[in-house]
Amino acid sequence: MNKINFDDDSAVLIIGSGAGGGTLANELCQKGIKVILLEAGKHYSIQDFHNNEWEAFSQLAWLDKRTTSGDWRVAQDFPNLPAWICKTVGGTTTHWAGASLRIQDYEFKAKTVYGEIENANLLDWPLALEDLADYYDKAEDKMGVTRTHGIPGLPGNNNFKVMHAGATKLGYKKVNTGHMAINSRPRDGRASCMQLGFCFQGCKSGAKWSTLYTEIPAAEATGNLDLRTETHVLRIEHNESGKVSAVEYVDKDGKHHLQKAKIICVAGNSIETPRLLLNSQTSQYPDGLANSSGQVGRNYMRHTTGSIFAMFDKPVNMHRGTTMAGIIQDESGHDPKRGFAGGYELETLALGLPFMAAFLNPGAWGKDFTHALENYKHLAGMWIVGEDMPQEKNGVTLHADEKDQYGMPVPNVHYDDHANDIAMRNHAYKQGMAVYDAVNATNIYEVPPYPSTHNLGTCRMSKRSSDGVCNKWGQTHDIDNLFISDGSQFTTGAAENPTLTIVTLAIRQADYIADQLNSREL
Amino acid sequence: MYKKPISRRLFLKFGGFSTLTSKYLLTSSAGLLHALTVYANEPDSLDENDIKLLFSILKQMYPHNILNDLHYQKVVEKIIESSSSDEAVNKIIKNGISKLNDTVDKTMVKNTWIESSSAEQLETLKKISKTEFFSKLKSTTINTLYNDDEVWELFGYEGDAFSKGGYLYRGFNDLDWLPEPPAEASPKFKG
Ligand SMILES: Cc1cc2nc3c(=O)[nH]c(=O)nc-3n(C[C@H](O)[C@H](O)[C@H](O)COP(=O)(O)OP(=O)(O)OC[C@H]3O[C@@H](n4cnc5c(N)ncnc54)[C@H](O)[C@@H]3O)c2cc1C
Ligand code: SF4
Repeated sequence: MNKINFDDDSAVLIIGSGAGGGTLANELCQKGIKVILLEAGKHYSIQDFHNNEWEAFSQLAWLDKRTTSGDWRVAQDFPNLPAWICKTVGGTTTHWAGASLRIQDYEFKAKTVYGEIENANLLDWPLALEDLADYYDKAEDKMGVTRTHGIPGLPGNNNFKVMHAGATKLGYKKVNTGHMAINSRPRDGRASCMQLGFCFQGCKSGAKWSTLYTEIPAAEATGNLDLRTETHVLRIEHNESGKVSAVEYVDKDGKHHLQKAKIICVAGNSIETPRLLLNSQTSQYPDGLANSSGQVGRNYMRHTTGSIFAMFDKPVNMHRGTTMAGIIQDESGHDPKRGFAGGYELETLALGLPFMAAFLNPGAWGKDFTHALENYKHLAGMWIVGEDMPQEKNGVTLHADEKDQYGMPVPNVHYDDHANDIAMRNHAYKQGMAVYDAVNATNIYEVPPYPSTHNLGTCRMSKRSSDGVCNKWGQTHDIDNLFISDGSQFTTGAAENPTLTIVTLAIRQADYIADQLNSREL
Repeated sequence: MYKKPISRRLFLKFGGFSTLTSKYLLTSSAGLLHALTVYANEPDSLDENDIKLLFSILKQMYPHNILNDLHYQKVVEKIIESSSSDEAVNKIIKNGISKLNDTVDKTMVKNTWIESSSAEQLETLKKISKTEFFSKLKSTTINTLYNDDEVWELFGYEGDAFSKGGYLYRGFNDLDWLPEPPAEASPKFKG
């Protein structure tokens, strides 16, 4: 049963219950603000999660049709799966690994620090690290990030031992079990990590933070939340004065509804958020909502990624324990001597045998491939996550003729690698291989990027309204009661896994919305 | 790919696996017969020769000494299943099989697939590697052969961990052939 009537226009309406939307909902509810939270996916609980890669993927991943274009290898290997994103209460925080790093000071000023880079649409963020410091603190506390707030680091698993031994032999200094939103000891009513090794499938011990079992129940406990699951938003409507006023959604029985609201916050992740704005075009906003800059759907970033797996004489058993069990941070600075701008992190990564088969070298067959798989027990792995360049041509557009099950144009995701991305990836492959070579790997595999797990930048924040879609609060430049509340806001990608920053921005946005409501600005 | 020759010790290890699996080999032809008799009577279904050919192709595409026919049979059954329930797939498979011998003839001007040497078969596979038939075999194998808990066990992947209490007390950090990282990099678990 809905708590708030369709015609009641006094609440804040949030689309999407993942890292951004779930956090924002809770923060607003805690302040006594009524929130309607619309989520396209189903409401599962920890007990429903599967310790099985394909089962977990088909249970929670967003599988509605998407198309791809561009020269990135994902378009060739996974033409209808550009991204690994979840459709469920909790969004992709159900499948995420938990790595929680702050963006570095210099990365907020990418344009100033890197200078002009050809074909890159670089911009400085309209805020600095010091503007976010207190909010980062709050986010780390909320999420229980290890190595902050006196929370000890996690114990390293076998995969980390291999990384650590190789990295330190190579002379790397910043190598440890990382900053993880995973309980290394019981905290916040949740257990500590059992080292299951199924972080990407939904954490069955609840040790890993997810809005599903932290923010959302906390918001529900206030009595201010109206959570509606299996509700897919199709359009955002506006009134004559140009402010947004309602959303149209389909419920699980296929019924269409119009829900009014005072403020609308979009947190559907960086493909669905711009898709929704573009699909809401009207005669007043012919290019879609909040798109006077023409930047909605552009500057899509996915991090420069790739993996390195290596085989050893003796067993590793990388699948045991946390998926992202450790990190090398020595390459995360900006050092143009390496031949590219920006930096990257190297993080351990383990896949189970089913996903190894699918991702090691998509499309591969023959002896080399089967040899790697049958030596699964002897493999160690790591993942590259580095800053990729924003490019105007990379992004999300509405497909000209293909429609989804609701008749809404499917999104096409276009991505061409920038020369800087390629130079960085090659450098990172070389360093990752050197790490494993230092501990006598017998075979080393360069593994191409997976469908994007980090999706960013398609409604970026900017100081000037002509450069981006929203201001430093995530409020759109064009429509002051429309907010962007997810990773689409990112002006640049930085080298760090994005979720801690998405949560930080959501906490900050909640304060801003509350202030604006109190001062009757909104 | 950057490669070094594989060490001798690794081969010895897998030598052990092969003897372990050989006992399954006896049961596998019975399984194959079962698959044949179940599907043989359907119209347009794959006949005995088709199925033999599929086994042979799959083993050439995804060679594993430590697996036996029983493991590949699950892939073959999946192909038969989708071929009998989906006309488009049936066409792709039937076509692929009938073209295979053509491909062999034209390129090697010698033998049928079954008569070809292993090296010749590999050459033929390279020739057809861009076809729909080949893609279908690839995707079915990836989703079936490597999603089989018997195969997992042989390759050393342990599957579900929750029902066994995770690895916290079962070897998540039992690797002992490299130095232990210091506590500041990897703190001990204090339960
Ligand atoms: C395997 C994996 C590992 C990851 N590991 C890490 C990591 O270690 N560290 C890190 O920082 N990040 C990691 N990430 C990324 C992280 O999950 C995302 O950055 C984060 O969840 C994004 O938050 P979000 O709020 O933008 O979107 P999401 O969390 O994806 O939530 C969006 C929600 O919106 C809903 N939605 C979308 N459109 C509509 C609509 N029209 N109507 C209704 N609902 C809609 C979706 O169903 C979804 O639930 C990982 C991701 C994956 C897949
Ligand atoms: S390893 Fe830890 S965080 Fe990951 S799924 Fe298991 S218990 Fe959860």
